[in-house]
Amino acid sequence: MLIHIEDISKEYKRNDEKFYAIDHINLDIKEGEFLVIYGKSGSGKSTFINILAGILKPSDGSVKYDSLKITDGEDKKISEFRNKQIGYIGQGYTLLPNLTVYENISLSAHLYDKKSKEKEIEEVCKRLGIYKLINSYPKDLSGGEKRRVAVARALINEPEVILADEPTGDLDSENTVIVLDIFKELAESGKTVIVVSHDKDAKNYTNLIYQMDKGKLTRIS
Amino acid sequence: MAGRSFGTFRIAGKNIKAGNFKNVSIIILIAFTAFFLFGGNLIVYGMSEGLNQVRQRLGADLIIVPAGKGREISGILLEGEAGFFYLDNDLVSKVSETEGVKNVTGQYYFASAAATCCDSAKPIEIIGYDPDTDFVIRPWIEKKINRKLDDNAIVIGSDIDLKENNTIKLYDEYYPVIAQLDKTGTSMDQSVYTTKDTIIKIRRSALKKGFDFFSGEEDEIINQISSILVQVDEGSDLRAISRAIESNAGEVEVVEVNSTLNAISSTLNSIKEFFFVFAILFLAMASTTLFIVYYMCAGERKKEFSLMRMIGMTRAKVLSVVLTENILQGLAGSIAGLTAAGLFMYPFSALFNVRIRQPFAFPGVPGIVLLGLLSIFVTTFLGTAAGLLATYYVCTKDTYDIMREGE
Repeated sequence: MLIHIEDISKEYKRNDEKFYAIDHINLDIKEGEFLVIYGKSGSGKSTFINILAGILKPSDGSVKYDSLKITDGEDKKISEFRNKQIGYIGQGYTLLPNLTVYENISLSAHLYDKKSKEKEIEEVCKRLGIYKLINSYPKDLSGGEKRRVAVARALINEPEVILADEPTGDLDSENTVIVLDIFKELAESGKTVIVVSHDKDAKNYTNLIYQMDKGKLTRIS
Repeated sequence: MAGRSFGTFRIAGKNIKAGNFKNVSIIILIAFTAFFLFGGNLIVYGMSEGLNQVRQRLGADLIIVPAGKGREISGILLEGEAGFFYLDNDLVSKVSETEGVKNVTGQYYFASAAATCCDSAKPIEIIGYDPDTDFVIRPWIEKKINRKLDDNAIVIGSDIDLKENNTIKLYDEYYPVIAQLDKTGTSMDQSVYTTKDTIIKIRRSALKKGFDFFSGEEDEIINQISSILVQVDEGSDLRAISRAIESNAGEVEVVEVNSTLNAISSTLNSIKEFFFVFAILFLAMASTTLFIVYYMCAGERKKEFSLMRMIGMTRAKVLSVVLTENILQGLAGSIAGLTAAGLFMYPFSALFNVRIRQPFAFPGVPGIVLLGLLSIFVTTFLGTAAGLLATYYVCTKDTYDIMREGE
């Protein structure tokens, strides 16, 4: 799946002054590519990845997944696409607090597909080492466990694109390796992976490294 | 595995369950709203229905009593006060000769029999009437039985307990009850209607039991009545007829039934107006409070809604989860409020009746169901509308912008 990013920008106002969080970015990302985007806090990398996920509208420009324009269109169509084709791992803790681990993953799995996915949920949970936690609620999990549940939820529908915003931010080195290995495998199997990270380990997994600074994206390797 | 897949209803249910104090507060607030709405409606409806029943039951345009007893008549009819005043039976024919008079009948207020004597928790008003001339009681009895009263037969008001074998015990004697009248919410419900011959038999039993509070001899009872009920020709001038009766019949007072009922009606209208204003203010206050509570909850749950969007829920689906939560809370609250109002109102309706000194008839099952459904609809709608309005803005903003708020 080709991701075509065409001249996107995102403008915000702070103290009555306008500034660009994203400053006219153009980029094509091909199927199976593994991108890592570095940048200081406030450089615009989260804004960028959220525009790619279709949960933030750019002020200008557009993002297309093959022929589907995710930045503009019918909510139902874009929401279904996001559920099936984009595995999104947001920053911070992104689990629904009133649902168990199993329910969090199952909800995403069954939003548009009524077919039972119990086996798939079991497999992904085992793979990420959270199978014992499936009946637990998010409040009872550690930061790292929550993060792995979010990854499991992102992978359950076998999406074509993985977008991860600081996915290893609160993981120990062992869990960081588990998650990054999974991303690498996914990329090798033809999925597109885009990771926004502070983690220097991430750059060992790819040659496509970008830097975000004041909303501008530059390839550094 | 841990469970099965689930939809909107299950997510909403889990959210309500997890909300604890906040959700319980919302449900209690809705329950209070439903309690006052349903309870208030029940009172207004009960009073209207009571007045309606009395108006229909009285059936007469004029009531003639001994001079100076006019003020007592509404107390006797509506509040169960004892009335011991008598007129000469011959006055009935005299009144019937008055121009414009259509029907005339006499009634005999025997006494308020003590509760200890009879099958009743409260004193019973025994009212004798003349089946040959009666036009007031008969239409009501004929709704229940299609024949004239037998000798000894008794018709009872709605508040008197009827034994399994359809009899009533008065001073150790059992009398067959042939009909029980509908509720009016007045002392009519605590009355026994029978012929004067039966009243004489009841009196004999009472004397045997040592109750000697009935004055006069049997002959006097036969020749006496307590009031004369008059129905006039349609379009007649009530005032003129009243004056004519007073001048022909001598020491009597003529009471216009409508003016007595109109006084009650005007009190009822004041209560209705008060309730209406109170209900509007209360509903406005309840919906504002609900809106504020829901708004605060929505604010706290912004991130949760955004997470739902993030995994691919449409805005409509997120709103449907919130809508389902609101409806469930609304239903739980209004049903709790209705049940509480019902449990509170029903046992206290008799006391309420005494305290307000107005006719009060508890609505029947269809009336209660209708009022209940109306209250459930209004309170659930209020809660749902307030909740949806408060949540709407969250779902119309960009998901990521909401998630970043407060960071």
